[in-house]
Amino acid sequence: MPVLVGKKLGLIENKMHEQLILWLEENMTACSTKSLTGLSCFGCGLQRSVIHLLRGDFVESIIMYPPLIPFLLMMIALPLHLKFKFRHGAMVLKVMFILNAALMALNVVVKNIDHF
Amino acid sequence: MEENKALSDSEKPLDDVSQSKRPLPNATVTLILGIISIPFCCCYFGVISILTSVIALIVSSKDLKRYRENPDAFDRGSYKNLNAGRICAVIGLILGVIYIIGIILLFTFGFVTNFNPSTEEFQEIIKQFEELE
Repeated sequence: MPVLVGKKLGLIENKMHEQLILWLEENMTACSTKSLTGLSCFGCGLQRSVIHLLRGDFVESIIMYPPLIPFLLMMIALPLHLKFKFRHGAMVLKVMFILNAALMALNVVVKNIDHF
Repeated sequence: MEENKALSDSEKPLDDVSQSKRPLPNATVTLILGIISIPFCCCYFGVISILTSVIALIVSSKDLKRYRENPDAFDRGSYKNLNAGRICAVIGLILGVIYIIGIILLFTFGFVTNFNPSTEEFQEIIKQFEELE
Protein backbone atom coordinates (compact mmCIF):
# COMPACT_ATOMS: atom_id res chain seq x y z
CA MET A 1 0.00 0.00 0.00
CA PRO A 2 2.64 2.58 0.97
CA VAL A 3 4.68 1.62 -2.08
CA LEU A 4 1.63 2.14 -4.29
CA VAL A 5 0.96 5.55 -2.81
CA GLY A 6 4.59 6.50 -3.21
CA LYS A 7 4.60 5.37 -6.84
CA LYS A 8 1.45 7.29 -7.55
CA LEU A 9 2.96 10.43 -6.11
CA GLY A 10 6.08 9.79 -8.17
CA LEU A 11 8.23 9.64 -5.07
CA ILE A 12 9.67 6.13 -5.28
CA GLU A 13 11.48 6.50 -8.60
CA ASN A 14 12.91 9.85 -7.65
CA LYS A 15 16.55 9.39 -6.72
CA MET A 16 16.90 12.71 -4.92
CA HIS A 17 13.99 11.77 -2.72
CA GLU A 18 15.55 8.42 -1.81
CA GLN A 19 18.83 10.10 -1.02
CA LEU A 20 17.03 12.58 1.19
CA ILE A 21 15.40 9.72 3.13
CA LEU A 22 18.74 7.93 3.50
CA TRP A 23 20.40 11.11 4.66
CA LEU A 24 17.65 11.70 7.20
CA GLU A 25 17.94 8.14 8.47
CA GLU A 26 21.70 8.47 8.90
CA ASN A 27 21.57 11.85 10.59
CA MET A 28 18.90 11.40 13.23
CA THR A 29 19.58 13.63 16.21
CA ALA A 30 19.27 12.14 19.66
CA CYS A 31 16.68 13.58 22.03
CA SER A 32 18.31 15.17 25.05
CA THR A 33 15.41 14.34 27.35
CA LYS A 34 15.40 10.73 26.25
CA SER A 35 19.13 10.31 26.75
CA LEU A 36 19.11 12.08 30.12
CA THR A 37 16.01 10.67 31.73
CA GLY A 38 14.94 7.73 29.63
CA LEU A 39 11.50 9.29 29.29
CA SER A 40 9.97 10.32 25.99
CA CYS A 41 9.50 14.04 25.38
CA PHE A 42 6.85 15.95 23.44
CA GLY A 43 8.71 15.47 20.17
CA CYS A 44 9.82 11.85 20.43
CA GLY A 45 9.01 9.95 17.26
CA LEU A 46 8.89 13.07 15.12
CA GLN A 47 11.91 12.25 12.97
CA ARG A 48 10.92 8.64 12.38
CA SER A 49 7.41 9.83 11.61
CA VAL A 50 8.73 12.31 9.04
CA ILE A 51 10.72 9.55 7.37
CA HIS A 52 7.64 7.31 7.24
CA LEU A 53 5.66 10.18 5.76
CA LEU A 54 8.30 10.84 3.10
CA ARG A 55 8.02 7.18 2.11
CA GLY A 56 4.27 7.68 1.67
CA ASP A 57 3.58 5.47 4.66
CA PHE A 58 0.77 7.46 6.27
CA VAL A 59 -0.51 4.85 8.72
CA GLU A 60 2.96 4.11 10.13
CA SER A 61 3.59 7.84 10.40
CA ILE A 62 0.39 8.42 12.36
CA ILE A 63 1.13 5.51 14.67
CA MET A 64 4.67 6.74 15.27
CA TYR A 65 3.76 10.37 15.99
CA PRO A 66 0.06 11.29 15.70
CA PRO A 67 0.41 15.12 15.85
CA LEU A 68 2.67 15.34 12.77
CA ILE A 69 0.00 15.55 10.07
CA PRO A 70 -2.28 18.01 11.94
CA PHE A 71 0.82 20.07 12.65
CA LEU A 72 1.81 20.19 8.98
CA LEU A 73 -1.76 21.12 8.04
CA MET A 74 -1.66 23.91 10.60
CA MET A 75 1.62 25.19 9.23
CA ILE A 76 0.08 25.28 5.75
CA ALA A 77 -3.11 26.93 7.00
CA LEU A 78 -1.31 29.68 8.92
CA PRO A 79 0.31 31.54 5.97
CA LEU A 80 -2.80 30.97 3.84
CA HIS A 81 -4.94 32.55 6.54
CA LEU A 82 -2.54 35.46 6.95
CA LYS A 83 -2.50 36.02 3.20
CA PHE A 84 -6.18 35.59 2.28
CA LYS A 85 -7.82 36.45 5.64
CA PHE A 86 -10.50 33.75 5.77
CA ARG A 87 -13.58 34.63 7.77
CA HIS A 88 -13.28 31.68 10.18
CA GLY A 89 -9.54 31.22 9.73
CA ALA A 90 -8.62 32.25 13.26
CA MET A 91 -11.13 29.85 14.78
CA VAL A 92 -9.98 26.97 12.56
CA LEU A 93 -6.36 27.62 13.50
CA LYS A 94 -7.30 27.73 17.17
CA VAL A 95 -9.14 24.39 16.96
CA MET A 96 -6.24 22.83 15.05
CA PHE A 97 -3.79 24.11 17.65
CA ILE A 98 -5.84 22.69 20.53
CA LEU A 99 -6.14 19.34 18.71
CA ASN A 100 -2.41 19.36 18.12
CA ALA A 101 -1.58 20.15 21.74
CA ALA A 102 -3.98 17.47 22.96
CA LEU A 103 -2.44 14.89 20.63
CA MET A 104 1.06 15.83 21.78
CA ALA A 105 0.12 15.51 25.44
CA LEU A 106 -1.62 12.21 24.79
CA ASN A 107 1.39 10.97 22.84
CA VAL A 108 3.72 11.72 25.74
CA VAL A 109 1.43 10.08 28.27
CA VAL A 110 1.01 6.92 26.16
CA LYS A 111 4.72 6.60 25.44
CA ASN A 112 5.70 7.04 29.10
CA ILE A 113 2.91 4.96 30.60
CA ASP A 114 5.25 2.09 31.47
CA HIS A 115 7.34 4.32 33.73
CA PHE A 116 4.54 5.27 36.12
CA MET B 1 -15.87 55.77 -1.75
CA GLU B 2 -15.35 58.02 -4.74
CA GLU B 3 -14.48 60.91 -2.51
CA ASN B 4 -11.92 58.81 -0.72
CA LYS B 5 -10.40 57.76 -3.98
CA ALA B 6 -10.22 61.31 -5.16
CA LEU B 7 -8.23 62.34 -2.12
CA SER B 8 -4.60 61.39 -2.45
CA ASP B 9 -2.75 60.10 0.62
CA SER B 10 -1.20 63.45 1.45
CA GLU B 11 -4.54 65.22 1.34
CA LYS B 12 -6.37 62.76 3.61
CA PRO B 13 -7.31 64.34 6.93
CA LEU B 14 -5.98 62.64 10.07
CA ASP B 15 -9.45 61.97 11.45
CA ASP B 16 -10.31 59.88 8.43
CA VAL B 17 -7.36 57.55 9.06
CA SER B 18 -8.27 57.01 12.71
CA GLN B 19 -11.91 56.35 11.92
CA SER B 20 -11.35 53.85 9.14
CA LYS B 21 -11.06 50.27 10.40
CA ARG B 22 -7.39 49.48 10.64
CA PRO B 23 -5.93 46.19 11.81
CA LEU B 24 -4.39 45.83 15.23
CA PRO B 25 -0.63 46.27 14.75
CA ASN B 26 0.53 43.17 16.63
CA ALA B 27 -2.23 40.70 15.79
CA THR B 28 -0.27 38.82 13.12
CA VAL B 29 2.87 38.64 15.25
CA THR B 30 0.85 37.29 18.16
CA LEU B 31 -0.78 34.61 16.03
CA ILE B 32 2.53 33.49 14.53
CA LEU B 33 4.37 33.44 17.86
CA GLY B 34 1.49 31.64 19.55
CA ILE B 35 1.40 28.90 16.94
CA ILE B 36 5.17 28.65 16.65
CA SER B 37 5.34 27.86 20.37
CA ILE B 38 4.12 24.30 19.80
CA PRO B 39 6.94 22.89 17.63
CA PHE B 40 9.45 24.45 20.01
CA CYS B 41 7.87 22.49 22.85
CA CYS B 42 9.93 19.55 21.64
CA CYS B 43 13.40 20.99 22.06
CA TYR B 44 15.54 22.48 24.82
CA PHE B 45 13.13 21.40 27.57
CA GLY B 46 10.40 23.78 26.42
CA VAL B 47 12.39 26.94 27.13
CA ILE B 48 11.94 28.38 23.64
CA SER B 49 8.23 27.59 23.73
CA ILE B 50 7.91 29.51 27.01
CA LEU B 51 9.85 32.43 25.55
CA THR B 52 7.77 32.70 22.38
CA SER B 53 4.47 32.41 24.20
CA VAL B 54 5.46 34.97 26.84
CA ILE B 55 6.55 37.39 24.11
CA ALA B 56 3.23 36.80 22.33
CA LEU B 57 1.27 37.50 25.52
CA ILE B 58 3.23 40.68 26.32
CA VAL B 59 3.00 42.00 22.78
CA SER B 60 -0.71 41.30 22.55
CA SER B 61 -1.67 42.84 25.90
CA LYS B 62 -1.15 46.39 24.59
CA ASP B 63 -3.28 45.70 21.54
CA LEU B 64 -6.01 44.20 23.68
CA LYS B 65 -6.14 47.39 25.76
CA ARG B 66 -6.24 49.48 22.61
CA TYR B 67 -9.08 47.44 21.19
CA ARG B 68 -11.10 47.62 24.40
CA GLU B 69 -10.75 51.39 24.54
CA ASN B 70 -12.43 51.83 21.17
CA PRO B 71 -13.52 48.61 19.46
CA ASP B 72 -14.98 50.44 16.47
CA ALA B 73 -11.65 51.79 15.29
CA PHE B 74 -10.10 48.39 14.64
CA ASP B 75 -10.65 45.57 12.26
CA ARG B 76 -12.70 42.72 13.74
CA GLY B 77 -10.75 40.03 11.88
CA SER B 78 -7.46 41.12 13.37
CA TYR B 79 -9.02 41.06 16.83
CA LYS B 80 -10.02 37.44 16.21
CA ASN B 81 -6.44 36.72 15.14
CA LEU B 82 -5.17 38.35 18.31
CA ASN B 83 -7.48 36.29 20.50
CA ALA B 84 -6.58 33.05 18.73
CA GLY B 85 -2.89 33.87 19.10
CA ARG B 86 -3.34 34.54 22.81
CA ILE B 87 -5.13 31.24 23.38
CA CYS B 88 -2.42 29.38 21.44
CA ALA B 89 0.25 31.17 23.45
CA VAL B 90 -1.41 30.22 26.74
CA ILE B 91 -1.61 26.55 25.72
CA GLY B 92 2.00 26.60 24.50
CA LEU B 93 3.04 28.21 27.76
CA ILE B 94 1.23 25.56 29.80
CA LEU B 95 2.86 22.73 27.83
CA GLY B 96 6.31 24.33 28.12
CA VAL B 97 5.91 24.92 31.84
CA ILE B 98 4.73 21.34 32.41
CA TYR B 99 7.74 20.08 30.46
CA ILE B 100 10.34 22.17 32.30
CA ILE B 101 8.78 21.54 35.72
CA GLY B 102 8.80 17.81 34.98
CA ILE B 103 12.45 17.96 34.01
CA ILE B 104 13.36 20.02 37.11
CA LEU B 105 11.49 17.58 39.37
CA LEU B 106 13.25 14.64 37.76
CA PHE B 107 16.61 16.31 38.31
CA THR B 108 15.94 17.33 41.90
CA PHE B 109 14.73 13.90 42.97
CA GLY B 110 17.87 12.32 41.60
CA PHE B 111 15.87 10.43 39.07
CA VAL B 112 18.22 11.37 36.28
CA THR B 113 21.21 9.11 36.24
CA ASN B 114 21.41 8.38 32.57
CA PHE B 115 19.25 5.36 33.07
CA ASN B 116 17.41 3.64 30.31
CA PRO B 117 15.25 0.74 31.46
CA SER B 118 15.99 -1.23 28.32
CA THR B 119 19.76 -1.26 28.83
CA GLU B 120 21.54 -4.22 30.35
CA GLU B 121 22.95 -2.19 33.23
CA PHE B 122 19.51 -1.29 34.43
CA GLN B 123 18.34 -4.88 34.15
CA GLU B 124 21.29 -5.97 36.32
CA ILE B 125 20.41 -3.38 38.94
CA ILE B 126 16.84 -4.65 38.99
CA LYS B 127 18.12 -8.21 39.42
CA GLN B 128 20.30 -7.16 42.34
CA PHE B 129 17.30 -5.55 44.03
CA GLU B 130 15.27 -8.69 43.50
CA GLU B 131 17.99 -10.81 45.08
CA LEU B 132 18.11 -8.56 48.13
CA GLU B 133 14.44 -9.09 48.72
